[in-house]
Amino acid sequence: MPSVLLTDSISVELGAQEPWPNDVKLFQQYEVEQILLPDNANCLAVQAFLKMCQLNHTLEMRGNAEHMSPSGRVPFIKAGAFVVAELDPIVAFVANKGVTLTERLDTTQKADMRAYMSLVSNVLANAELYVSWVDPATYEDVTKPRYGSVYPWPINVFLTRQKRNQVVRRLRVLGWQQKTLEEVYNEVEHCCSALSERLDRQDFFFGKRPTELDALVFGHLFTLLTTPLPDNRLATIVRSFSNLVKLCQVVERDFFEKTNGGGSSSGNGEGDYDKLEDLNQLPM
Amino acid sequence: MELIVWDGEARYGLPSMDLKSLQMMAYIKFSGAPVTIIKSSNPFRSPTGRLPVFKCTDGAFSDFNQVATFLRKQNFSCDYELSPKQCSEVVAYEQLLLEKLYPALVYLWWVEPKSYYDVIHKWYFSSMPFPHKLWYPRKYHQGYCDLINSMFDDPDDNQLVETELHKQAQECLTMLSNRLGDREYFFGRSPSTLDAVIFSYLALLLKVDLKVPVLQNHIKACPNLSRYVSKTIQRFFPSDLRAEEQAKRKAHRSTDTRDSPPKDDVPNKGRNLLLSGLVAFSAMFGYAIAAGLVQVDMGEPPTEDDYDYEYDDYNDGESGGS
Amino acid sequence: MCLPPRTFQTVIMKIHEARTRLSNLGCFKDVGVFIDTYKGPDALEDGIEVTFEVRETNLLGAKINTSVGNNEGSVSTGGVLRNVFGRGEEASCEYSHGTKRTSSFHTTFTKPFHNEASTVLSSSVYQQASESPWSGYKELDRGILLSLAFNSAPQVQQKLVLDGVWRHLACLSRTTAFAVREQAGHSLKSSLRHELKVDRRDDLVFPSDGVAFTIKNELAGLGGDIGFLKNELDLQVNVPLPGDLVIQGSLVAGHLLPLRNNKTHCITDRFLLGGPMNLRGFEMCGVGPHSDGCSLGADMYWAAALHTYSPLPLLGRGGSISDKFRLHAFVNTGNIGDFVLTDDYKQNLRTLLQEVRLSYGAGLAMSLGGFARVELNYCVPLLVQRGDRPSQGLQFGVAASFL
Repeated sequence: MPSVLLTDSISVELGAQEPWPNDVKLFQQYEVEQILLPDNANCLAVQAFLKMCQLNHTLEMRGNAEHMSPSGRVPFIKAGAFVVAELDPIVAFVANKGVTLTERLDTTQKADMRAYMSLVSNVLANAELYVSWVDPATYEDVTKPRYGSVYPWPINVFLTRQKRNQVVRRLRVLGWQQKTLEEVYNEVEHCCSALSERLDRQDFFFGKRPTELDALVFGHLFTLLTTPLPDNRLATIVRSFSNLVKLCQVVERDFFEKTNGGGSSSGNGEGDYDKLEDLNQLPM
Repeated sequence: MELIVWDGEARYGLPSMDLKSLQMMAYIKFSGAPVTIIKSSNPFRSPTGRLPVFKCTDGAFSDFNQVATFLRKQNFSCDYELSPKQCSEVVAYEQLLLEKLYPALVYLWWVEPKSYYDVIHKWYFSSMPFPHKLWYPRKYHQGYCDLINSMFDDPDDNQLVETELHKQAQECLTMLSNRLGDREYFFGRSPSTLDAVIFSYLALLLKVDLKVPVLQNHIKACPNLSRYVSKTIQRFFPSDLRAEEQAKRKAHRSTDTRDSPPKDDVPNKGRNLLLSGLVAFSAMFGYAIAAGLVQVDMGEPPTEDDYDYEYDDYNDGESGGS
Repeated sequence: MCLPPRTFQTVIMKIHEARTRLSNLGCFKDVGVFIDTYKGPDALEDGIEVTFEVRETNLLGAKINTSVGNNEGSVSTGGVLRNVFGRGEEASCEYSHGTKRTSSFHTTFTKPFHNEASTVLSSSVYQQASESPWSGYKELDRGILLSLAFNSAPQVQQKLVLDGVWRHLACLSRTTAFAVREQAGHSLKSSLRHELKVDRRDDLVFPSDGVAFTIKNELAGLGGDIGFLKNELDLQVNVPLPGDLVIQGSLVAGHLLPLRNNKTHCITDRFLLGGPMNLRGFEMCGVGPHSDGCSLGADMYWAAALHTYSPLPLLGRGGSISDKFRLHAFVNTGNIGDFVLTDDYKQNLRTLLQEVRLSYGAGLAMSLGGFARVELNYCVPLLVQRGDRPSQGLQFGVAASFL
C-alpha cells in the first residue's frame, strides 16, 4: 500500500519521545457566559476523548481562547512545548505517544469509524454553526450577547459581525447557508438516524470499549441535548433516538462524574454539566 | 424520465467529465431505471441552471439525493439487499468522501493552475458553445477557489494546501481500498448507491491525466480500486469503453505514420502564419497612409516650379524662380 | 496700514518674519516681497509700501516621501487637500509601507490656530499594521486620534493626545512562545497622553551644546479593557570640549503602573530594551525577560549612555559632507524588569542596579535628512544577564530617536 505524505513529521517524531506531561491544559472559552454551541460540542468531545484515554488534563478557560489557538478553533491543548488544536490532530498526537482507543479494530472498522466521524463533522457541526449564526432568532438571543460578552463596547459589535460574516461565507461555500431551517433539522434527523442504526443495542459504537467516535458523538449530542435555545427542536430530535441518549448517559456516568477514581480531574471553574436526568425540566 | 448530463471524453474513456453527472448515470445504470441519458455541453438551457439535471414528472432535480429518492419511490433502487445498518454506512461514507476526497478532487481539477488551464479549462472551452464558454468555466473556477480558500487559514501557501489535501485524499483512498478488499462491490455482488458515489470519484481521479498525477498514481497502486473502476465501466458503460479503445487506436495509428515530431493540433500552421502576417502588414500600412505618416504621391513627379513654391514662404526677398 | 517710523533694517526683519510665517502656513507656493516708496495721499516721509505677492497652491495635491522609523525605512504616498476652509487647514490621506512589513493608512485633518503658541489641532483616523519578530507577534491597530500641539514657551513643545484604538494581536508563527500566545486577541485602549518636550540643543542629530528632555505620560483606561499609567523620561546633556569634541550623556527611563481595577495591559504596552540605537551591543529588544526566544517586555526600565563625538579626522568640520559624519565612542548601560519599588530609596537603588547590563564600543554615525541617524558600531557587551540576547561585533542601526 503506498504510504501517505508526511506532514509535520519531524514535530510528531519529537513528540513521541516524551511521555504525556503532568501539566497538560485544555483551553476553551468561558463556559457559563461565552462559549457557543459548536465550540462547546468540540470541547466536550476532546474532553471525553482524553478522559477515555485516561490522560490527565486540566481545563483552562480564557476569553481569547479562539485567538490563542494555532488553528483559530477551540479547543486546543498545551502538552509541554506542543500546542495542538482540534480533535483529529489531538487524536494523532496522542496516538504518537502510543495511546490509542482503536488498537483492537480491524481496518474495515477503522474505515467505518472515520466515515461516521466525517458524518458527524459534516452534518452536526455545520448544523450547529447554522443554528448559531444564520438562524436569526438564535443569533439575536443567544449568539450575539454571548460572543461579545468578554469584549468592551464597541469592539464586541465589530467582532461579532466579523465572525458572522466569516461563518456565513464558509457555510455558503459548503452549500449550507442556502438551506432553510427545516432542511437543516431534516439533515440532523437523517444523521442521527444513521448513527442510531449503527449503534443499535451496543454500549458503544465498536463493542464494549469507547473510541474517539463515541467521544465525538457524545460531545455533539450532549451539547444539543443540554443547551437551551429559543427553539428546542434539535434537542427533541436527538431525544427521539433513545439509544443515542443512552450512549450519552453512559459516557457521562463513566467519565464525567466528579469521582476521585480514574484519571479524570476537573479544572478551575468547571461548569456544571446539566445532568441528563434533569432533561425533564427543559421545555420540550 | 430523462437525464441530461455533461458530455464525456472518449480519450479518457469517461462517460461524463462531471462528478455529479457520473454519480447519477451510475445510479441509473445500477438500478436499471428506464431513463434516457442525453449528453450536453450547455448548462444554460437546463431548468435548474446547472448540469446534470433529471427531468421527471415531479419536476427537475439537480441533487443526487433527490434523484435517488424519486427513483426509489418508483421502485428503482440499488439498495434492496442492504440492511438498515449498511444503509447508514452509505450515508456515513458519502460524508467521508465529501470531507476528504472531494476537496482534493476539486483542487486538482479546478484550482491547481497547471491542471486547470491545460486540461480542464481546455476541455470545457472546446466543448461548450459560444458565448457560454467564456463565462461558465470561469464561474466554476471562482466558486471552487472560494471553497478551497474557505478551508484554509492561509490559502496563499500553495505548498501547504496541496500537501494537506493530498494527505487527506490518500488516507481516504487507502481506507476505501481496505474496505473494498477482494469484494466485487462494496456491499456484496451487486452495486449500491455507495458504489455509484465511489465509482464517480475514482473514475474521474483515475482516468483523467492531470499534470499532478499523485492521486492517479495512488489509485493505480491499489489494484483492487483500478480493477473496480474498469470492471464497472466494462459492465455498465460498454459504449464508452469501445469509444476509448477507438480513440486509442486512432492516436496510435497517427503517431505511427508520422515520422516528424508531433505537431500541434493546428493544420496548415505555416500558411496561417503567412496570411496573418500579410493582414497585419496591410492593416498597418493602410493606417499609416490614412494618418498621413506616409505619403504616397500618385501624381506627376514635381516640377521645378513646385519646389520653388516652397521657398517663397521663407525667403521674402526672392521671387519665384530658381 | 501705517507703522510707526523705524529703521529700514527693522522693517526688513519684520518683512522676513512675516514672509516666513506666510510660507509656513503651507498654502502658498511662492511668497514674493516688493518694497517701494509710498506716494499715496497720507504718505509719511520715507514711507515705504510693502507688497506681498503670493500664489496659492492647488487645492488638491499629492505627496510622496520617505521616512525613518525604528530601524526601518518607509515610503508613504498620499493625497492632500490644502487650505480647505481658507485658514490653512489641511486634510490628507496617506498610505505608507515600511521595510519591516509595517503598513499604515492615515486620514488626517489638521487645523492650525495662528496664535503665539502655534497651536495645531489635528484629528485622524488610522489603521496600522506592524510586526514584532523579537516578540513573535504582529499587531493591527485601528483607531481615532485627536491631538492638540502647542508651544507653551519658546523651545518648549507640549502635546495632548486623546486616542482610542482597537488592537488585534496575533502570533507570527507556530513557534511563538506560549507566554506571548496567551496575549493574542482583541483589546480596546482609550487613553489620554501628554508630552512635554524641551529642546535647547543646537542640532537634532549631532548637537554640540545644550540640553533636551522629554516627559511623556499616558493614562489608559478611560474606556475599553486596557488600563495603565505610563511615564517616560528622556534626558540628554551635551558638553562641548575643545578640539571639536562633544561629550554627550543621556538617560531614558520608563515606568508602567497597572490600574487596580478589572483592566489589564499586554505585551504591546510594556517596555522593551535593547537594540542598535538603544542599548547597543544587544539584539533588537534583546534585554529583559524572555520566553522561548521571544522578548516579553517589562513594566519598568532605565538606560543611560555616555558618548564622545569627534568629527572625521583629516576632514575637520569643513565641508557639508564631512559635517554629516561623526566618530563616536560610547558606554551604554541599562536595566529592565518588573521591579517593585518601596519607600526606601536605598533599597530602590539597589533593586534598579541589581543585574545591570553594560556595553561599550565605537563606531561611525551619519546624519540622515537632519533628523535621523545611521550608525555602524562595533560593540562589546560586558555585563549580560541570563536570558538576554547579546550581539557582539558590528551593529547597524537607523532611527530618529536614539540613546
